[in-house]
Amino acid sequence: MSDNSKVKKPDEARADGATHLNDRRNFLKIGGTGLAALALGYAGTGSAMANYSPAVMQQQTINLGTGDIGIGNFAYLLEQLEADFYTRVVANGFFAGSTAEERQILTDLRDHEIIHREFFKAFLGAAAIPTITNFNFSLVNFNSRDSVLTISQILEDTGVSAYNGAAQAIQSTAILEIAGKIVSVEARHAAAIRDLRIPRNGFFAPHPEDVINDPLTVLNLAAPFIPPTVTINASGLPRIIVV
Amino acid sequence: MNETIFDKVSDTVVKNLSEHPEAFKDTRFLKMSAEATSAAVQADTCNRTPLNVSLPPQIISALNLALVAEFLETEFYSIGLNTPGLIPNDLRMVFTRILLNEVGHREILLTVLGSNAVAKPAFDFTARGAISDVFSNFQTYLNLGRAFEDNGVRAVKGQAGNVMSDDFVLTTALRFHSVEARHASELRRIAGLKGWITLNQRGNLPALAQGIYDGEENIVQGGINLVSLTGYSAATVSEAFDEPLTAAQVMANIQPFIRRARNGELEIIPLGM
Repeated sequence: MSDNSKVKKPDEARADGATHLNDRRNFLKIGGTGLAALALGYAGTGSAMANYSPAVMQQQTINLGTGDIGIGNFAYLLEQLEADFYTRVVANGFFAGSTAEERQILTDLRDHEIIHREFFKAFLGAAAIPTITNFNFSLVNFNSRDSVLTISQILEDTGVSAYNGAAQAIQSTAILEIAGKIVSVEARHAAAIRDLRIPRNGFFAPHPEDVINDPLTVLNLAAPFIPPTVTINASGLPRIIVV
Repeated sequence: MNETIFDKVSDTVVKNLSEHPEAFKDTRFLKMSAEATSAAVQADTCNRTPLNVSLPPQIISALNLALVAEFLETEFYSIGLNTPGLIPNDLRMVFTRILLNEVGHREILLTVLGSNAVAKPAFDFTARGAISDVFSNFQTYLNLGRAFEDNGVRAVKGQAGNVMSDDFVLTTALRFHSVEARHASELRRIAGLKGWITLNQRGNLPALAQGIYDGEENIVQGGINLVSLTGYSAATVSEAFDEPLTAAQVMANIQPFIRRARNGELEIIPLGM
């Protein structure tokens, strides 16, 4: 297994020589992880998250599997992450000064991502990875508009890049069709969030072609949110060519 | 990965885009929107260097379907941006960005298709008078634009299975597809709608646009009834998934906007099937 075929837990990332910026939340992987680096700027102090205790929690390795099942579990993992994030955004009562439109959009995103998550869980059946209950959102300040919308944008754009990137490795026409049905909704989300951040600009769709990422890149982008107790084994996922 | 096409496409597309007068003419509006009142829609004088690759028939027809949709959209936004007083100044950047993206899609499709590309149809955005204020009433223009985008999303989605034999074509199509969805979301929200489609609701468009939304009310995915599974309403479940259209459905949706031939017959666009 190559080194990058397994998503690094934050603790492992630190051993890679990553900078140690925040002792209280000493898990962030800095450096090759754009998402973590971006999100760091928005790390707040009012987070309700980070209620984990690595010393006493059991380590868990989640193997995504191979082929279309692996890609399905990869998508299921991302949908779990998104659903959990927006669930917490809504449960937090949104952020200070949120508008009615912002609350409606974030509520819709929560509902859509929960529906995606539950779809994959049912669709994958016995092959589905376990539910991850303790995603790590300690780098999010849920009371901050900037923090919530920045993380939302990153999650949605990353989701689009993940589906578009993985599509070429999908063997089943039926699964490709479902991925296509979901990715455009994620892109609708991404544009709405981007427009909330920089309204009525070209920011909602900055390129004629959306960015694509291969699954391992996406999983490294998501790594800061993976609980320290969880190791994702993605060694069975296909590699794709990113052009 | 089909490297044959990609190896050739990148430089060619950059060259085509950089030479394309339409793209640059409209970029100018980013800075001079208030002054841009008299520019006419310029003729397409772009010199392209088509790729000399052979493509299977089903990929040619799939790409030609996408090309027709891009022809429609680029002309629609070009006319809009060149119609004085139509698009409010504070929204010109939105429409310019969309036009630039559509030009990019069109140029890539024309480059990949080469001599297999269909000719641009003659469009009538009034749908033979049914939408007579399309270029004089911004709300009408805006809503027709979002409908074209929603149609474009469904059109490309419906072709994914037909192009999956070629990794480059599939990936490129999907990258266009999600950008169309971004456009749709933006225009829908500007129009006061949600960025996502609820059931088969067409909003304040005439009935001739209903085909663009029919089928979006689907709540069963992969054989699973998601209302039963999740307890969410059909409206919410329908928003969470976009639905594909067949080539015939897409062409039926576009047909009202294609001029009749002189003999009154509908123009039939051969997609290469």
